[in-house]
Amino acid sequence: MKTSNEERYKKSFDNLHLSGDFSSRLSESLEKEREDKKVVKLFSAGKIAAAIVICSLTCGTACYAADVGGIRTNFNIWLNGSNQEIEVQDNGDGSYTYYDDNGHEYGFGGVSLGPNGEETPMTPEEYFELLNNEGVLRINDEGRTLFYYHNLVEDVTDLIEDGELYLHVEDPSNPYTYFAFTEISGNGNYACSTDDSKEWFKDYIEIDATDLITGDQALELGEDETVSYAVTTDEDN
Amino acid sequence: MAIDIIEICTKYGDRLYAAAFNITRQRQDAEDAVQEALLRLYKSDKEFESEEHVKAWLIRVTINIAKSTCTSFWHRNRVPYEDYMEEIPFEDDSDRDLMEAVLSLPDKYRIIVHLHYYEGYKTREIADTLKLSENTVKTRLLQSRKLLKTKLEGWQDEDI
Repeated sequence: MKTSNEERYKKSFDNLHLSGDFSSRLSESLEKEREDKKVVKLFSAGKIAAAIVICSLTCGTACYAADVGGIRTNFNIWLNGSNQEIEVQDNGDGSYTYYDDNGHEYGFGGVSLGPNGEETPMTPEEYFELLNNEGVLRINDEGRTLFYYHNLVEDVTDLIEDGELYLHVEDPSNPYTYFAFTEISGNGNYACSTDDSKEWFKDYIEIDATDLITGDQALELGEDETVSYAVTTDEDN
Repeated sequence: MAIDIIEICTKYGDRLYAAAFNITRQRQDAEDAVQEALLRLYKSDKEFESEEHVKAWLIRVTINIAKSTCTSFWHRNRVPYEDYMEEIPFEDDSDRDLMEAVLSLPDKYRIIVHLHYYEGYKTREIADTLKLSENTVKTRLLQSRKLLKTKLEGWQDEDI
């Protein structure tokens, strides 16, 4: 009886096997991944409605906060391409609410996962530091998906392929500007990882950063200017 | 569904490796591609509907990683696949001949052949996995078969 092409092919390629020590090397890599990676999961509500997975809290950008009676409530943040002063309301359950200049409500909350899986509630300072250094996707009222980074706004609706989008912004003040958006869904949910270099097997789309206000430039504007990077200081208030 | 990466590796590691090796024709590059794919699965928050879904995702990701590896400097400077094949304990010479014939096919043909004959994918599924049109897949599969027929004794004629 004749052996089919499929059977012949399988018989031949079934001779290929991973090295004997592959599993142990994989286990080591997985362990290293667990230990090294500080993963922060944010759960958001309202217009943000995004589950953001971020690899590191330390993006190297200054972050100031107003300490008003021990409760930090006022922040200057990049929101929808402009710098806005917002007041954050502590909902008392680990979640926070704030509003943009147009009265749209945003919510956030989350935990920081440590190396051993321990959870620490995320503070607004941590959240806004992350947010100010992050590229963010939001769906506008016309159903278009917009990418925001500082003052940059780009319609990326047509660039999303199979729920994935890889973008890079050339920002001299922040190396962590390789944004990998995955699992982008129609309702605005997505996962985002940020890195200082591209994932080597992906092509990143370059966002025009000619008009970018960088973190450093924004800080140099000083206390009296309307644009101040990250979170405002006591003096600012 | 909960995913145990080591269990997935035990179950599908070799077939992922076969797909990666088909592309890279380098042992180390292929293993690196499999490891990277499994680590990506570990890091992913993706919700999988079934184990079959996990497998299909892993095959696609492994292929993409392996393809990217082929453009790197390191890949171009690795040892030839013929040397590695000397180490594989083929049961029959015909098995070795077949693998050599497949690996000698042009890059763009090999993975299509592999997905078709090894994974049992239909042309539509191959097109989806590789982001190609179905017609392109059919044409390349046809060309591959013609080439294999010239290289291999007893390779049967088939309809697409």
